[in-house]
Amino acid sequence: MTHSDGVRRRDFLKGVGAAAAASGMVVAQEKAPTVPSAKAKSASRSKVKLSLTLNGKKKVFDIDSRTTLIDLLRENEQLTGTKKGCDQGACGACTVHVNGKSTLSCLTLAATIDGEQVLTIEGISDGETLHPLQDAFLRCDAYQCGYCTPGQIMSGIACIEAGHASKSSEEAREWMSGNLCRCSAYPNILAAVRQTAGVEPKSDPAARSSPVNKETLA
Amino acid sequence: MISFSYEEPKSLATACSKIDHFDTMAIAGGTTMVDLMKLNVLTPNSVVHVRKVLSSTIEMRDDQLVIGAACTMASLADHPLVNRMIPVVRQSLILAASPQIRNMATLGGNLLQRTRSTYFRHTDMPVEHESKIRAKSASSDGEVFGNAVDTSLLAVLGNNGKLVGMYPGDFAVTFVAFGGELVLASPDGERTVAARDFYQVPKDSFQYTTALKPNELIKELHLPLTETLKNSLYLKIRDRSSYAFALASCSVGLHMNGNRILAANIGLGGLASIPWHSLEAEQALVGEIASDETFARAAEAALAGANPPSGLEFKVPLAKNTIVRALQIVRDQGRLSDEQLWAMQHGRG
Repeated sequence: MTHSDGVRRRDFLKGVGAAAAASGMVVAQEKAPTVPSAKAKSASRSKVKLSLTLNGKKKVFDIDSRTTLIDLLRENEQLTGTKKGCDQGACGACTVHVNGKSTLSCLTLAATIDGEQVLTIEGISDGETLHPLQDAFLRCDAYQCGYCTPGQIMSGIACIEAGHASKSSEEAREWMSGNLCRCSAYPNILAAVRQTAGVEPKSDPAARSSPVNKETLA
Repeated sequence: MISFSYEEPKSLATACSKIDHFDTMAIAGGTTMVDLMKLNVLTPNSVVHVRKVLSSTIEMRDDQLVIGAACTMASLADHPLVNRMIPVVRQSLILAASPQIRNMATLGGNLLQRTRSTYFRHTDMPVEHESKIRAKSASSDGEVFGNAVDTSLLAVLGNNGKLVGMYPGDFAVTFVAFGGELVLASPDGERTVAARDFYQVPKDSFQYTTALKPNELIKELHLPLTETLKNSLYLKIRDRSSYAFALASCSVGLHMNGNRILAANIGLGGLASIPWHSLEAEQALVGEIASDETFARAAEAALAGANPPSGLEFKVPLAKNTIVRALQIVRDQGRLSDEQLWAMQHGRG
């Protein structure tokens, strides 16, 4: 996808967000005098410093102790590729890698991974060259709405690297079962993962299995 | 989430001295803690990160598997010895949760998993002690036990006639069934507690309590390497074939001489207020011929004390059938490979 001219969707949304935040601040200022000083004290006590290697770059943060990894990525770093689905560890949309292992960023308190390596969907391509699994998701049409896709791809990479994608399809399904797809694109997601693992030929599953079309052509 | 202060102590002794499991809570993998803190079910004033001061190693020591409490579910499942020799441990781990959660969750935390019942997870749904936790025998007005209550994740065994939350985990079922022990560390030193004594059936509370004292942390898990572990299985029955809590599960191990049972271990999951060890089922098996009739008697014995709230009556026959089927698989097929396990779990075996 290219954006040769005009406003990018994300830049547009950022602009809207800034306006909303500004109007929110007015309300906050109006209420400010009523905030007791004890609250300010508790806020400072709950600050945490941490450093992460995020998509290969060293980053330092000074955050509220409550910050989850997904909020750190999306709100502090504007890495909005990682999606928040259920926010309670049931859907896998927020999957990232921490030290190479697939991890739910919504259930990770950022403070607990001080000094670790984090890889998100934004960090897997080589510049403009897509990661082979991203390529496979395009080829296999492994999504409909696309909301679960970043999490599926991060789980898929971990599944392939751990060797679970190249044995039986049931083992691959088992190791992808932490990622829900409410459009139910599972057969295509499985095909993308298995093709990238090299155990199935690279092809579009829709083109491969179309008995109705064959009969019509005959 | 309510604001809290956060610290990472440098030593286990310091961590133990700070925590009280109420106002100051320990966090390791965080998969349960963060979830329940978001819901304001847990509202600690301070959170102490303990993962870095606990061991995550797995080693053999005097015929025991010694597991550091910070070892993750994924690491234990993939350990070569566990993978090759102890099917029930691997299976009760890889059939639990999702790959992501298994990468995060530590075994110390996994053992302490809270009930999933909505009456615990939602602060706006308190269990009303007078009307909802009603002893069956006290219900003289003919009211059905558990009527008009969401009983889906409540206990059928070990409920003392009350509506109490079910323990949802899998690995702990294997751990109690096969006689695991916990090493608990505190500023005063260490003590060892049998897993079967660690979990306490709820008396006044909505869910189980443990032997863990305010300044104690689980430091190590010890599992004796018995003959029964080699010939073992974790059979898990659930609403969907993966990533779901058990409706009923059975952790079994048999040591046989010909067709006679020399030793047996039986644990039940998805049913009780605590990870359930069935001494009754084991006694019905040991010394007997491993026949379907013996297995049926063991299943009857295991569920003799069942007291299902309204809507959970189905769990009693389901649990019995799960026990019989698990025993038959161990008798007839021995240990299952992962492939056989997937085939069975996905409904083809």
